[in-house]
Amino acid sequence: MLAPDDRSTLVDCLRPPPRFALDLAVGTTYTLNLTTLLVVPTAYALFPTGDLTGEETESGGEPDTRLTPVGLLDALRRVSGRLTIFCDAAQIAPPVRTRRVLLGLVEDSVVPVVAPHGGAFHPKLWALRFRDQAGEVTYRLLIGTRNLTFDGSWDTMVMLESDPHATPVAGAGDLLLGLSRTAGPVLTPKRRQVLQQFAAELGGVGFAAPAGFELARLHTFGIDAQQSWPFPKRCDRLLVVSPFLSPGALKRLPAASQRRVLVSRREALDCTPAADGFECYELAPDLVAEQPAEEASATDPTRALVGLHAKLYVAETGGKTRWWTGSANATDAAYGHNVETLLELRSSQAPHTVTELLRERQNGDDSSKTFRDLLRQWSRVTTEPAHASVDDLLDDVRRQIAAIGFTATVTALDADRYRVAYTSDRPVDLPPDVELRCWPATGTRPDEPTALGADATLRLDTTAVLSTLTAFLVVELSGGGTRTACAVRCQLVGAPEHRQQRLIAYLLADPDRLLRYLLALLSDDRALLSEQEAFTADAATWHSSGMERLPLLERMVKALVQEPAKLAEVSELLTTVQQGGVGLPVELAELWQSVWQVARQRTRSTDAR
Amino acid sequence: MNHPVSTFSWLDTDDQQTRRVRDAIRMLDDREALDPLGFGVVRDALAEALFPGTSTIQTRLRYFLFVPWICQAVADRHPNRDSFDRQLRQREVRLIESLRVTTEYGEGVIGYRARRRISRLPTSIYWHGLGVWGVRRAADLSLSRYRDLVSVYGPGGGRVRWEDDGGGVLDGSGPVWDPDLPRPPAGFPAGEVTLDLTAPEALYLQERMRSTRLGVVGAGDVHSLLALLAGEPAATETAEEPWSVGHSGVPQPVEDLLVHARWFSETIHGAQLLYNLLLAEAARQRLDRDTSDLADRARQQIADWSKRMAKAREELTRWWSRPEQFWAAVHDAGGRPRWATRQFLTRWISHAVDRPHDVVDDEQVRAALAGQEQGLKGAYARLTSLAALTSWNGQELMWWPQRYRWRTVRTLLADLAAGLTGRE
Repeated sequence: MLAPDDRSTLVDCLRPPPRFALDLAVGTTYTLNLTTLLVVPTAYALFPTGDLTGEETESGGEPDTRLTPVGLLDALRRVSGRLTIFCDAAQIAPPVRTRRVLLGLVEDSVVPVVAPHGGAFHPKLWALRFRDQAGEVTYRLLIGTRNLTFDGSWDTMVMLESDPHATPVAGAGDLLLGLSRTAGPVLTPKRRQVLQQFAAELGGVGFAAPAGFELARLHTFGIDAQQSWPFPKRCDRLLVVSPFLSPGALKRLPAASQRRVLVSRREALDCTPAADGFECYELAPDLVAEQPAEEASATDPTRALVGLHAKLYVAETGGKTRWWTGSANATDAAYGHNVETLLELRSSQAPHTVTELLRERQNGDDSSKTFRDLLRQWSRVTTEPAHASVDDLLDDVRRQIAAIGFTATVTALDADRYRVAYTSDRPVDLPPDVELRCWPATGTRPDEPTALGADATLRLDTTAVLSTLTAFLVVELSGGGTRTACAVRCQLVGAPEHRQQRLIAYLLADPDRLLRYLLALLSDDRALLSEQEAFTADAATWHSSGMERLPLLERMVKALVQEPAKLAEVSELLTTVQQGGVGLPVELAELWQSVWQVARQRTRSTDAR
Repeated sequence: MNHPVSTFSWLDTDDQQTRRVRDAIRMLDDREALDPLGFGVVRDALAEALFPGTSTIQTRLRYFLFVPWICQAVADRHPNRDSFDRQLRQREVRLIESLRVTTEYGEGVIGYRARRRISRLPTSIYWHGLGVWGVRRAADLSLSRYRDLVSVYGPGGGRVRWEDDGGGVLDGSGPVWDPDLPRPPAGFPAGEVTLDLTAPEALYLQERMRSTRLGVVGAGDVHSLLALLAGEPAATETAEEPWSVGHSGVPQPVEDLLVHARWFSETIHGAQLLYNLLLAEAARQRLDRDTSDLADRARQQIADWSKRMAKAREELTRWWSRPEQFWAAVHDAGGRPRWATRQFLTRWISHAVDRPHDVVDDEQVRAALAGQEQGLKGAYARLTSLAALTSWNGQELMWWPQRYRWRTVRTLLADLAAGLTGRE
C-alpha cells in the first residue's frame, strides 16, 4: 500500500477510458496558476477521442502522445465549455507573462469561490463524466491532495471509477451541490444548472473501491454549518500524514492506546511542540532530493519527488482500519472554517493496518520498497517559534478584497476596440498604510497606485482590443516593504460575440506561427518539429532562405501520397485564417494552390474509378 | 466499461507531459513578432556565408564535441524511437548538472537556469553546424532521421532502411560521425566536465573549422572567413566587428562579401533606429503612453548615425553605385528576400547614402517603413495594428547594428585559442 513506486499522473487520471470522450469535468483547487490550468485540456489533446487510445503506432504499441499547438488549441476549444474549475478567490496567481491570448480561451472555465465561513476554499476534488458514441456514460471521482500545479511533491490520488454493481457513496455530490448554491455570479446560470444536475446524478452513482477497501463517505466541510470532525475519539493505533500542523488539531485527534504516529515536514514539526505526543517521522532525505538521480527519466517510477504534501489519517482498532484522505491538513483552520473534502475508506485487510504500513523491511529483503522506506524517524533538536509572517496583514487584506467580487463591463468603441470598466461590487476597505494597484492581467503594472472612488469602490477604466480583453484583474497590495498580488476573476458583462473563434483566428494571423502550425499539422514526427525544426522555423520567415530549408513542399507531397486527409485539415485551417481577414503569404498561397489542385484531381479520379 | 478499477496511489508529475504542454503553449503564445522590417533574410545569408555552421544561440565551442558524444552514447544503447528522445534528454540534462559544478556563474552553460526543464537542447542548437563543419559526415541528415537510423523498431530489433537514399552512410553501414572525432572524457556526461577544450580537441575542431568554405555560389573553392580566422584565433580578440580584424591574405571573394556586409549593416542601422522612433511616437499618439525617453534616445542616435553616414559618404557611394552587385552577392549567398523587401531595402539604402540627415522627418520614408512592416506582419505589425502596438512592452527593438553572429564567433575563436595552448 502506497509503496514509493506506486504512482499515477493527473493527466492519466483525467484521460477518458477507451471508447469514451469527456462529457463534463468539474475540478476544485485552492491555488490556481493560469498556465497550469492549460494542462487539463491537454489530457484530451493527447488523447483526442476514445477511439484513438487503443490505436497502435509503428513505434511499438504505445499510444501516440504527441502534442501539437494545433492539438492544444483544438482541445481548448472543445473542452473549455465542458470544464469548470473552482478555486479560492484570492489564490489565482497573476500570469507571469502578459499577452496571453490563451487566457481568453480558458477564462470561462474559472470560477472563484469565497469560503462561506471565512477560511480557505481548499478541496482538490475532481468529478468527471465520460460518454461514448452510443450515449453510455461512466463517471470518475478523483480525490487528491495536490492543487492544480506542476509541483512534484509527495501527494496522493484516489481514483474512483463508477461501477453499476456498486452502491453509491454517501456525500458524493455534496461539494458540487454546495458550490452550485454558494458560488458567485461568475458561475453562469447555465453552468450552475449543469452543476446542480451533475451533483444530483453523482448521489446515485455506484463507485468501485480501491482494492481491499470499502467506500464509506465523502465528507465535505465548511459549506454548510455541519459536523466537520470525522474522526473517532480513540483507537488502537493512529497514523497521521500532514505537511501542516497546528496544536489544537493535533490534540483533538483520536487518542491511541498503542501507537500514535505523525508524519510531517521538519519545518512544521520544529515549531509544533504538540507533536511531541506522537512518534514522529519525516520524509527520508534521499526521497526529497532537489534533483532527480542520474539516469532517472521523467517516467522512471523511482524518481525522487520533492517535499511532502499528502494528507492521510489512518485509525486502526482491532485489526480494522478507517482511512481518510483529501484536502484537510491537521490544522485548526481545516476543521474550523475552511471548505475541505475528505474521502473515508474502510478496510479489514492486514496490509492496510498502521502496523503493516510502518513495518520495516527485513535485512536482505530486496523485494520492492514499501511505504516505510519513505520515512525517517524525526526527533526534536530545537523548538522554533512559530514564525508570524510579516506578510500576514497584506494576505488578509488580499483575501478580503478578493472576496468582494468584481465586474468587468465591456462596451464596444469601434470594430476592434473596447472600453472595459473593472469595478468592485462593494466598497474596498483598505488600511491606511497599504497601497493598492490594479491592472488587467494582459497589461503592465502601473507606476501609480490605483485611487479608490469617493464611496471607496474601485473603478478602473481601460481600453482593450480583442486579444487583450480579459476577465482577470491583477490586484497588488504593498506596504511595510512587502507586497502581495493575485488575479481576481471578474464577472464579464458584455463580452464580444464569438470571442473564442475570433481569438483562434487571431492566433493564426502571424505568418511565422502559421508556418509552424502547418508543419505541425503535416508532421507525423514530433521530434522533428519540437526540436530542430521548430528552431529553424523560428528564425525563418516565409520569404527567406530559411523557407528553402523547411520541408513544407516535401511534407505536402508526402501527405498527398500517403495521407490526403491531412491536406483537407490544412485546407480547413487556411480557410479559417483567410476568413479571419488575414492574407496568406504569396509564396505559401502559390505552393498550396498547386498542391491542393493536384489533391482534388486525385480525389476526383479516384471517385471516377 | 468492463472492469472498473479504482486506485489509491502517489500522484506523480510527468515532466515530459509538462514540457510538451509548455512547448505547445509557447508556440501559441502571443509573442512579439521578430524581424519587423524583414532584413533578417539578408543578414542570415551573409552571416552563414561568412561563418558557416554558427548561430547566435550557440555559446561555447566544446558543445561541438558534447553533442556528438551524447548522440553516440545514446546510439550505443540501441534505443527505440521513443526512448531515443528520452535518453538524449537525460544525458543533456546530466551534462547541464556536470557543467553547473565546474563553470563559474554558469556562463555559457546551455540550460543553466532551466536545468531539467530545458526546452531547447544543445543537440538542436548545434546540429546544423556539426553537419556544416563535417563533424557529422552526413551534413543533411536531420536529427529525427538520425534517430530513425540508430533506433530499433519494436521488440524485434529491426532497423529502418532507407533504400531510396542510396548512400553508404544512410543505410547504416558507414559512420555518421567523423572517425577522427576525439574520445569523450571518462564518465561523460557525468564527472568533471568543463567547457575548456583539451589541446587535441582544439586541434581537431580547428581542422574542422578550417575546412569550411565560403557559402557563396560561384566563388569557387574559397575558405570561409571562419576558416581563415581559425588559423589565427587569437587575432580576433579585440576586434569589435568582423571587418576590423585586419587579417592578411583574405581572398577577394571573402573581402567583397565583408564589404557588402559592413555597409549593409551601417546603412540599415538607421532604419532600425527610425523604427523605434516611430514606435515611440505611435504609442504616445494612439495609446497615450509616455515614451519620450525612447523617442529622445532614438532621435539622438539617428543624428549620430547620420553623421557617420555623411563621413563615409565617399566609400558608401562607391559601394552603392551598383546595387545589383549587392543583390547578386546576397543571392549567391542564398538570400532570397521577397520582392517588396528588396525594393524597400534598395530605396532605404539609396536614401541613407544620399540624404541620411532627413530620414527622420521624411513622410515617405516613414510611410515606407510602416508599409514594409504591415506587408510582412499583417495583424502583428506594431506600427499599423493597434492590437500589436498595445502588446509592445515599451522596450527598444533591434537597437544595435548588425554584426553577423560576430559575438558568438569571437567566443568560439577565443575557446579555440585557449584550447590550442591548453592541457594535453
